[in-house]
Amino acid sequence: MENIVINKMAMQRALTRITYEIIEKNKGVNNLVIIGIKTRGVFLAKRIANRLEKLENVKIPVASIDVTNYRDDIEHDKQSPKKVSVTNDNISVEKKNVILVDDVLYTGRTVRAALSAILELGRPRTIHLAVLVDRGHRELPIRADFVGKNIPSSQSEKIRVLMKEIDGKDLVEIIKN
Amino acid sequence: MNFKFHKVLIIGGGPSSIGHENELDAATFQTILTFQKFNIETVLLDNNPFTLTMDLLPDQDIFINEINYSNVLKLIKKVHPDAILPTLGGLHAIRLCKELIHQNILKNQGIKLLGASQLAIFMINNPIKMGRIIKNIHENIVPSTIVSSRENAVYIARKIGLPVIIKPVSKHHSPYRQNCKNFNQLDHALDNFFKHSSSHQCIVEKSIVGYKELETIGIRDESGTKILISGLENIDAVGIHSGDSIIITPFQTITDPEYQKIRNATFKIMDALRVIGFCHVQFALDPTTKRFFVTKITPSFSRSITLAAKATNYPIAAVCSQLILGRTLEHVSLPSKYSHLIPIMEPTLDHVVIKMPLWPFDNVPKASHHLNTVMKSVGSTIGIGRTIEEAMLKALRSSQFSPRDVLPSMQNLSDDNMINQLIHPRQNRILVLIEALRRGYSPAELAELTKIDQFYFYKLRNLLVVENEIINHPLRSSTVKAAHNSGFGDGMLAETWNVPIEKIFDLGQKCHSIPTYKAIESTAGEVLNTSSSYYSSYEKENESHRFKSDSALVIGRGGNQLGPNTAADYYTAQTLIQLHHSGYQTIIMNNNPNSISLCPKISNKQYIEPIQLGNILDIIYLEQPKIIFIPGNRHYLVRELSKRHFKIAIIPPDQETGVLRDSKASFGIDFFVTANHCHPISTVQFNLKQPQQLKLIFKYMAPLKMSSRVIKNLTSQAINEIKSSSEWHGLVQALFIHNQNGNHLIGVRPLKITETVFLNRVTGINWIHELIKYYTHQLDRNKLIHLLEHQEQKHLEMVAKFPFRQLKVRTKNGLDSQIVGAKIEPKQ
Amino acid sequence: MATRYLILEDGTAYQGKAFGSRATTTGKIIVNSNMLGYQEIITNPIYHDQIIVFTQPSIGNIGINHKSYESISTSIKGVVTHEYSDISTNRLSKLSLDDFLKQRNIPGISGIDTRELAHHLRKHGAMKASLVDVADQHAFDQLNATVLTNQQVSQVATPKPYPNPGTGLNIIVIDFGLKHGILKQLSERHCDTIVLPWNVDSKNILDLDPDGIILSTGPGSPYDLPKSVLKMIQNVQKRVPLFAMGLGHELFALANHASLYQLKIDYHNSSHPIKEIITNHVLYASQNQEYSVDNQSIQNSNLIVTYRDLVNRTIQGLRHRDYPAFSVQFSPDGGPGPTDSVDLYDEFLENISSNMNKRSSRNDEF
Repeated sequence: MENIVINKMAMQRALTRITYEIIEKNKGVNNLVIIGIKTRGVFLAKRIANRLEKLENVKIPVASIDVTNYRDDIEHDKQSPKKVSVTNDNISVEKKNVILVDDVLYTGRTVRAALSAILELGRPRTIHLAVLVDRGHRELPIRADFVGKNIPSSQSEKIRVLMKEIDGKDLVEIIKN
Repeated sequence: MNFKFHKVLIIGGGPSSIGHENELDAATFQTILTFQKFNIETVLLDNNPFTLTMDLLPDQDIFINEINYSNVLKLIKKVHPDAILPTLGGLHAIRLCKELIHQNILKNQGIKLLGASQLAIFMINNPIKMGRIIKNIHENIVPSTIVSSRENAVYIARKIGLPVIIKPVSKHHSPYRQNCKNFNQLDHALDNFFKHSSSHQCIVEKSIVGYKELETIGIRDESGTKILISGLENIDAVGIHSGDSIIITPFQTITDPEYQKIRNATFKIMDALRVIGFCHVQFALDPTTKRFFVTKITPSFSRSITLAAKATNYPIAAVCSQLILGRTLEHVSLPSKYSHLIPIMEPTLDHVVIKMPLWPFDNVPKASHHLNTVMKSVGSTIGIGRTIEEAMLKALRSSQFSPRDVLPSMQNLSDDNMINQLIHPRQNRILVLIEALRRGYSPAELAELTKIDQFYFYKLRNLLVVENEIINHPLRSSTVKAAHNSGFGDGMLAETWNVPIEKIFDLGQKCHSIPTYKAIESTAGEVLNTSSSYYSSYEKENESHRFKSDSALVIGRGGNQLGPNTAADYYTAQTLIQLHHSGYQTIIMNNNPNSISLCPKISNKQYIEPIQLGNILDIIYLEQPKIIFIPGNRHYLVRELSKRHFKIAIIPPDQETGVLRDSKASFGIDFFVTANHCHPISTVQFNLKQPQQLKLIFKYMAPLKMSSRVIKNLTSQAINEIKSSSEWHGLVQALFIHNQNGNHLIGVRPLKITETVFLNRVTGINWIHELIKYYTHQLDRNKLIHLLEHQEQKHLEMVAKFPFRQLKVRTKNGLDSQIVGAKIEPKQ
Repeated sequence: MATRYLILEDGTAYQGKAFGSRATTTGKIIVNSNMLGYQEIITNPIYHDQIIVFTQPSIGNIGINHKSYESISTSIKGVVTHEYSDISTNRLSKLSLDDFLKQRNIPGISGIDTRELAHHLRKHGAMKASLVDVADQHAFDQLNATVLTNQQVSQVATPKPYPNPGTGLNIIVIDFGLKHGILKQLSERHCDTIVLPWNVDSKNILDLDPDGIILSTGPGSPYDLPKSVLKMIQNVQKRVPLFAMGLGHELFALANHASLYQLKIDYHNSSHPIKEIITNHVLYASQNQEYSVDNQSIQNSNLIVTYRDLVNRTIQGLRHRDYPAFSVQFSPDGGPGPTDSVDLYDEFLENISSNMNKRSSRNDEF
C-alpha cells in the first residue's frame, strides 16, 4: 500500500520554508556552503541554493558528498583507504557556515558519516543539517536544524522520496510492507 | 534564443468541413510567421487550396497531398524534420501522430513532438485513459460502467441514478445510444441491446442531458505558468452539441467559487497532460447539486479556441507558437500593435460576446433539422455588445444573410409546432424562444421545457419590451435610443416604421444616440491602445478614430454557409493583403469568428459588427474610406451604397452575371481582362467525356489535355466574344462544350471564387492581387505579361467536398451551393 | 427607472438610472475589473465608504446567495455599473441585488459607460464622488465639502473578541476589516481561531498563547492607524509565526521600517501576474491595492521581497529575515478571484509546526 505524505506543492513549500529558515538562522547568506548527501540530497541542496540565489542575488557554492565509504554500519574493504568524494573540488569549508542536506533523516548514521567527511576537509565555523523528512528512530545523538516534515513512522515502513530531476515527479510516499 | 530543432513538420487541417472552417488556417498562418521570425523552417502537408498558409511558404516546403499516414511517413523520410506539430490540423492530425508514436517513428527518427504531449495524444478518443487522468487529479468524470448482464446494468443504473444512457462497447463510433429516464425505458433499451449486440457488453452512463455546459480555454508554458483565456457558457444545455449551441462569454450564470473550481480543474488537467500551448476543456455542471464533470479535453486548435481569441482579442495563436518554441509567457514578444504586457495578463472583459450558429438546412433540405449531440452547423456569427441583450441581437442580426436587417417572423408557427420546437430544437431556435415569450410563456416554464437558464429568458424578455416600444411609439428619439441600447439595427427600425434609414440617423442624433466604437481587448480598459479590433455600442467614449491617410473598407462575407464561403473568405483576406501593399489603410468588417479575413495580422483595423446597411453606413461615416469592397452577391447593399454615391468595387465579383447559351460545359479558359487587353491565363477541364451541368461541376483539372493549336484557336474565339461586350473585365472564364462535333464556345462568365483560388495554385500567380491592383489602378501590364510568360504551370486537380455524410443525407451529386470545402492534389 | 447622477470631484457628471436605494451618498470612487463575484466585492469591508465601479458587463445576474458574503454588514457607498439585472435564478437566492442594496440603504446607478469612466479615473487619479438626484452646483459643492473619514478600520473591525472554534492550531486573527474568506480558510484547516480587535496590545495577544497570528486585510491607509499597532506587530513577530495580508501586509512593512507610497489609481482586479521570486512561479490573485511598499525602503529594512507584480513591478510579498513572519499584498483566498495562492495558509501552518518543533527541541537543549 502506498500513501503520499508530501505532494509536489507541499515539497515546494517545505523547501521554500527551509530556505527562509536558513536565512533566519545564519543572519543572511554570507559564508554559506551547501553540501548535499548522495543522490537526492544533492538535488535538494541545489534547489535550496537556487532559491537563495534568487532571493539574495549571490552565488552559493554547492557540493555533493558520497559517504558510502564513511558508513560505520557497512563492512569496508580494509585495503581501500577511506575516501571522501566531494564533487566540487574548489569548495572550501574552512570557516564557512555549512548546510548539510539530505532527503530523509533516519538512524543518523549517514549524517554522522557526512560530518566526519566534512571535518576531514577543513574546519567549518558551523554545520547545520537540513532534511526533507525526519522519520525518527535515531541511533545517534543527531538532530536536524531544518525539517521539511516530521513523519513519525514505524520501522517496517519504507519512506520513498521522488524528485523531478531523477524520478520525473516530486513526492514523498510511505510504503507499508 | 537557441532551439533544439530547426525544421518543423506541420500537419495541416485538410479540406474545410462541418466543424472546421478557416480557423486552422489562421492559426497555422500565425504559427508559421513566428517560426519564420526565429528562422525555423516549416514543412507543411496539406491539401486545402483555400488557405493563406499555402501562400506563405516557399513551394519546396509545401507538400500538397492527401493527409494520411503513408503520406506523412513519406514526407518524414524525405525531409527529415526534427520536430512535428500536430495541434493545428484538428483531430485527424492528432490521430496520425498517435499512429506515428505507435510505430515508433518519432522515437526512431529523433523527432520531437510539439504542442501536445504523448499522454495527451493517447487520451484523445480514449474515454478510459481520460477517466484515469481525471481521477488522478481528483476531478469528476461522468460515471459510467461497462456491464455484461441485464442484472448488472440495472444495478449500476440504480447506483448512479436515472436517467442513464445505454451505449454499446465498440472501438468505432457507434450512433446507437438510448437515454433511459425510468426503469421501463431501461428494460426496453437493454432488451433491444442484448438482442442486437454481438459483444454482449454495454456501457451504462449517467445521463447529463440538461446540465449546464461550460467550456474553458487555457494556455500553459514550459515552466508551468497557466492562464485562463476565456470561459464559454453554452446557453443551450448538454444534449445539443456545443457547435450547435448559442454560446456566451464571459460566464454569466455561475458564482465566482464555481468559476474558480472550473479554472483550477482546467489548470490541473493542463499540468497533468503537460500541455505547452492551448487546451480546450468542456464541463457539465449539474444545476441542482452544482457538481461538475469534465466531459471533454481537446489539446488541439479548434473553433472554440478561435472564439475565445476573437472574444478577448488575446492573440492565442501568436503567443502559443512562441510557447511551443520554449519561451515562457513572461518573455513572449508580440507585434508592436499589442502591449508587451498582454501575453501574461489573464484576460478580463468588459463586454459580452455571443456566438450564433448557422445551419445548412436551406441548402440541404433533406438533412434532419433536429439539433442533437451531432454537430450540424456549418458556420457561426458573433455579436459583441456592452449588454447581453445587445450582444444577442447583434449576433442574431449578423446571422441573417440578407442585409435588409429583418428577422424572420415566427408569427405563423402554430402553438403545437412551437412547443415541439421548444423541446426538440431546430434552427432559428432563438427566434422560437423569443416567440414563446411573446405568446406569454413565463421564463420559469421555458426554463423547464428547454433546460436553458431562466436568466436568459429574462434577458430576451427585455428585448420584447423594447420591441413593443418600437411598435407602439414609432419615430420617437427616445424609442431610437432604447432600441440602440438593446442592439436593434437602424435598418430594423427603418423597415418597421417604413422610413428611409437616414431618418433613423436623424432621430438618433437628436438624442445623442450615436455609435461609439469600443476596443476589443483583454484588460477591461487597463492597458490602452493595444487593439485594432472594435465593436459598436451607443455610449459616451469612442475609441476608434479615422485614419490620417487613405483607407479602404472591405465588407466580409459574414457567417460561413455552404457554397464557396471558405474560398471567399480567403479571397477577402488576399484582398486586404494587396490593398495594404497598394498603400491603403485597410479596414475589414466581418462577424465570422472563424474567418481568416478577421485575423488582426492582415488588416489595419477590424470591426466585428453585423453586416447590415445601418452598421455599414455608420462605419463609412466614421472612416470615410476612399473605396469600399463588397462581395458580389450582395445586390441590395450594392444598390443602397451606389445610391449614396460611395465608390464601391465588387470583390469577389458577382457570380450570376454570366452570359451562357447552355447549362452544360466540358472545359473552360480563364482570362484576365483589362479595358484594352485580354490575357489568357490557363485552361481548366471539368469533364471531357461528358459535358457537366454547370451547377454540378465538382472536379477541376488544369491544364487541359488538348493540342496547343486547338487551344490557340479556341482562345481567339473566346477573346472575340469577350471583346464584343464592354461588360467583361477582371477575371473571366470562357466555357466550352466538347462532343463528337468538336468544341463549342457556350459563353462567358466571371471566374468563380473557388476556381480563382485554384488558378492561383495552378499558375503560382496570385490573381486576387492582380485583380485588386487593377481595381485600384495600380496594375502594371508589362509586369503582368512577364508573370504570364514565366509562369510554371502545375498539374493539379481540385475536387469539391460535400457535407452529406456528416448530415446523414444520401445524395450523389452535390450542387455548387452545397460545397463545404475542396481538396487539391497533383496530377500527371 | 428614475434618473440619477454620478458626480466626480473633478466636475464630471454622468447620467444614469437608479437602482437599489435612492440615498445620496459620497465616497471615494474605485474601479473593480473582476468578471464575476459582485456580491463578494460589495460585501468586502475593504470597500468601506467607497463607491465601486464594476467593469464586468452586467451585475445582478445570480442574485444574492448565502455562500458569497465576505461580511454581513455591508458598508459601501454605491454601485456603478453599465447593466444591472434585477433577477435571481440562483438556486440559493432569496434576494435580488436590488432588494439587497435597498435593505442596506446603498444606492446604485446603471447605464454608465463604465469603460470610459475607468479610463477617466485612470487618467485623472483617485477622487471623491457622489450619487445624487440632481447634478447641480449645490451637489458639487456638497461633494467638495465632504471630508472622507480616515477611521475606516475602527468603523468596520470588530470591537470585541470572538472565537471561531476548531480542533487544530490556535490562531489569533487581528481584525482590521476582516473578510470571511480568511476565516473560511482557517476553518477548512481546522484551526481554533480567536478574532481580536485591531487595537489589542501585544501582551493581551501573547497571554492567549497563540500558535500563530494573522493580520487581516482591511480598508484605508495604514498611516491612519496609531503607532501602537506597529509596536504590537514588532512585539509579536519575535515570538510567534505571523502571516499578514492586504492592510496587514502594509502594517507589517511599516513595523519593519519599510515605507509605502500611494498608487496613482487603486488597483482592484485579478489579472496581473504575480511572481514568487524564490521559485519563479507565476500566479494570479485578487488584488485590492491602494498603497504599495516602496522598493527603496526595503534595503534599510530587515525584509526580503518574496512576490512581485510583473505588470507594475510593485512588491507583492515580504518575509522577515530573522523571524518566521511573512506577508502578501494580495488576497490568497480569492473572494472573488483565483485561489492559485491559497496554499499560503498551509505555508503559514507549516511555519508554525516547524517553529513548534524548534521550540520543543530548544527546550530539550536546556
